[in-house]
Amino acid sequence: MWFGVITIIGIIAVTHGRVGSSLIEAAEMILGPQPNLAAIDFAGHEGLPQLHNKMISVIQSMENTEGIIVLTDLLGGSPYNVANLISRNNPSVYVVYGVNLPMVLEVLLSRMNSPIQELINKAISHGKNGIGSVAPANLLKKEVNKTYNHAEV
Amino acid sequence: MKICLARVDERLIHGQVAVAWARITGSDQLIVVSDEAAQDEMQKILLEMATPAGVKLLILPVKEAASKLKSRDLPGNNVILVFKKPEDVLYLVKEGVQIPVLNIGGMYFKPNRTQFKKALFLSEADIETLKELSSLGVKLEYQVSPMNDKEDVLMIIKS
Repeated sequence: MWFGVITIIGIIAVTHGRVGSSLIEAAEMILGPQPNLAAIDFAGHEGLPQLHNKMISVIQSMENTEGIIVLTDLLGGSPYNVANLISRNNPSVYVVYGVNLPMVLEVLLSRMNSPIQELINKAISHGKNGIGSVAPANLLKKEVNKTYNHAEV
Repeated sequence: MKICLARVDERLIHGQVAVAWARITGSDQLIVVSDEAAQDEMQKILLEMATPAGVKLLILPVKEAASKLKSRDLPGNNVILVFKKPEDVLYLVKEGVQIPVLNIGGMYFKPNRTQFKKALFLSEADIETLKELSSLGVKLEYQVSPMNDKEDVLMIIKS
């Protein structure tokens, strides 16, 4: 008999203001409820030691993870800096900056079947590819049943 | 051609369908069945844009969908059928199209509707349509996203 435990990579969004918790809310609106998913909203008046303690406590509260990815909003911002510090002392904690909704969705959809480094690469590429604009001329395409190649615009 | 999901969703293709359901089912073909969408150029364009990369989109009026589904004359391997309203599903089933399970994922507020669940607002007429579908052997499941629990719609409307 095998009494294995399924591990789920933990995801924590840490941002200025309520961006993180709002992104999580949006992601769960689209994907439904998710395990091992949390947000920490950094209020301007909070001290860094408080943020640090909050992060440690959320990381410790996540069960059965093989690793944690902290998604922060801004490279060099306090959420990023504190996460980075924790990551240096804790090799199973990884930090990404520039979180957006396409990134959060990708990470949640792929975390059951990607090793953590690959998951981070997917997060970044989906985050980046999720940004764009459709030129008005391309709005009038009349072909039916074509694969819409988003890179065309 | 295999129908991996048949869903009633008033918003047709949006986050839950484009991202969650398309990915989880591994679908390569979305087919929207709706007279309204088929006749509206703007809607068609918006639906095209919402369709994820690598997935094809076909928008069909209801009668055409019925005949093409019966003759299996449709593209795609793993198809998601999306309907705006349950009446259109009923039409297809009465025409002989096989739909064993119908996912109800998004029916929203309208003045004559009662709310049963977060994304399930039904009028008396809607309830009759759903009961008729059920009597024709279609299993009705309320499930907004793949990670939400499935709930039996008949149980929901009886309570």
